[in-house]
Amino acid sequence: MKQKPIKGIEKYSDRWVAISEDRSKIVAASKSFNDLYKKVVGKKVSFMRVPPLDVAFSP
Amino acid sequence: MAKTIKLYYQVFPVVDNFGKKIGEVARPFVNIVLNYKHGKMLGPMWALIDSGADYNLFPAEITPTLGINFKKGAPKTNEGIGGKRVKTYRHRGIKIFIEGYSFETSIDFGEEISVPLLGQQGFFDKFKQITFKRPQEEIIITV
Repeated sequence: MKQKPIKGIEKYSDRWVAISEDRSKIVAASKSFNDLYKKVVGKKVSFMRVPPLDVAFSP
Repeated sequence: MAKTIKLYYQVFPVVDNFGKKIGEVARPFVNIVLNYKHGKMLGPMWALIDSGADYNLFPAEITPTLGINFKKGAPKTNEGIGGKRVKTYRHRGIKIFIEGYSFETSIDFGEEISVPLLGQQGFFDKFKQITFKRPQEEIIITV
């Protein structure tokens, strides 16, 4: 099943985000992983460092 | 009998300089959970399966949450696109969980690494086969 972009992710290029368990939305964001982790501790989320979205990403 | 794990590419928007969406790109990002020496479980975390990376490369900023003092690892140097070299520290004994399967591996942590990368040594070599079915945007991992 092909996936769709996570709603609203275009606002978070190069930032850490916490994504809801059903992957439908971003529940928190921060430039720092530790700040993000503190914001969502205990919540069922996944963590993503969003790659840059305005340039090609070739790590 | 071999077990297979079926995962999917994640689609990202491509934006212009003003943040306006101008396209989409699919990338083989997968959810993993990390654990170091029976400490805290960290994740799920999205990591990019990168067949061009020699080793697993992760941002150093997640190490305090894992209970790792990252500069106590074995120092390494990694060179990426454009010939840029970055200093990393390798830590062993890290467990990665992926869709009910787990294995112990090493990860190189660096302050200049942003997106977690799953590379050839420490990820690809832990499986019998990894197949990228790009038209279907599927990743089939055989364990």
